[in-house]
Amino acid sequence: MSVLNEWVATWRASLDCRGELTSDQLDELESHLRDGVERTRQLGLSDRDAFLLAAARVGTPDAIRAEYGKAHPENIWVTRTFWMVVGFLSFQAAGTLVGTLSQAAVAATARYFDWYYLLVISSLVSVAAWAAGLYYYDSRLGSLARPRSLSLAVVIAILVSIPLLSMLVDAGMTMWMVRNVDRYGAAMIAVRGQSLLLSVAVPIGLLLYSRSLRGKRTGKRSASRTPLG
Amino acid sequence: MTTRELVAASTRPLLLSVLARGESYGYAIIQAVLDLSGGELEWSEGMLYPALHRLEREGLVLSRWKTSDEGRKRKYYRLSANGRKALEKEKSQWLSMHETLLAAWGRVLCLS
Repeated sequence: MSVLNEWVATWRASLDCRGELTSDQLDELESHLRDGVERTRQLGLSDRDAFLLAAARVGTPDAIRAEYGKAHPENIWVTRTFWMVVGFLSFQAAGTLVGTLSQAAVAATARYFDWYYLLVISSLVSVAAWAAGLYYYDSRLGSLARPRSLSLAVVIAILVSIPLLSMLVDAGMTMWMVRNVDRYGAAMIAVRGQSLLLSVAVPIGLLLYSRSLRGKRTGKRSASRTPLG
Repeated sequence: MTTRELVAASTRPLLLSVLARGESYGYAIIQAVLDLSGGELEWSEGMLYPALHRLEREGLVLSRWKTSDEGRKRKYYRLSANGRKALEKEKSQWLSMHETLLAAWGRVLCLS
């Protein structure tokens, strides 16, 4: 019986892998599968054959999700919206984190560097890193970008590095401000730090909140597992 | 062999009719439909449960988790008052369609 429980658990996990079915719907399908197994076993089949037959009758996970998706499109959209929000906020948080760190580095070194050194050095580093990455990636795996030669890799790397220019302009402005406006650097880092706090704290808070919602759902599931088994 | 369209159209009245005979759960409903149709109609799970959930959302069907005699938990469905009304409506529609077809085929039928 315990082996059967394991199979059922695996079967259930394969239905649950995209989180589109609610735990109530999963409970119901699981109970249906067990009904099927029981009925088939009464015909004299082994546990294993009874399980395979019952599972095959219920259908493939993709087919079931598709049928349920048609009837409950809101389930799918809840999941999709969740991941869209998570993706957007993570992107935002990562961007602000990188921005704050680089701004802090620029403000700290502004008095010792001239901004065009920074421009030249970081452009070279970026292009070299991208070119090396692309070339290595190409020779190892082959790829969608597939630059045939090192020179093509360099051209692509330069194009990819263009967004860096806007960051450098930003950095140049910060350096100028640090040198010419009193305590500008400290103020700038404070502002960036606050937005970092917001853009990291808000998504983490949201994630924790949605986790706790999901936790409630899974909590219900584990409570109902015992009587099912 | 019944066509897909007819199977789809008859799902709702058949589901309501089976539940009108008493509270039941998914596996037993499929068996009941199989019996009633003399083995003609074999509903799939992927069709049945979404249909049940739709009826539940429309308020025609009520559900609850109940432990069976063998100690297994199952979700049981039963008709609500609105479900009974909906079934009466379905019945009169299907019977009048049936009468129309019989009349068109040249037969006379007294249904009541």
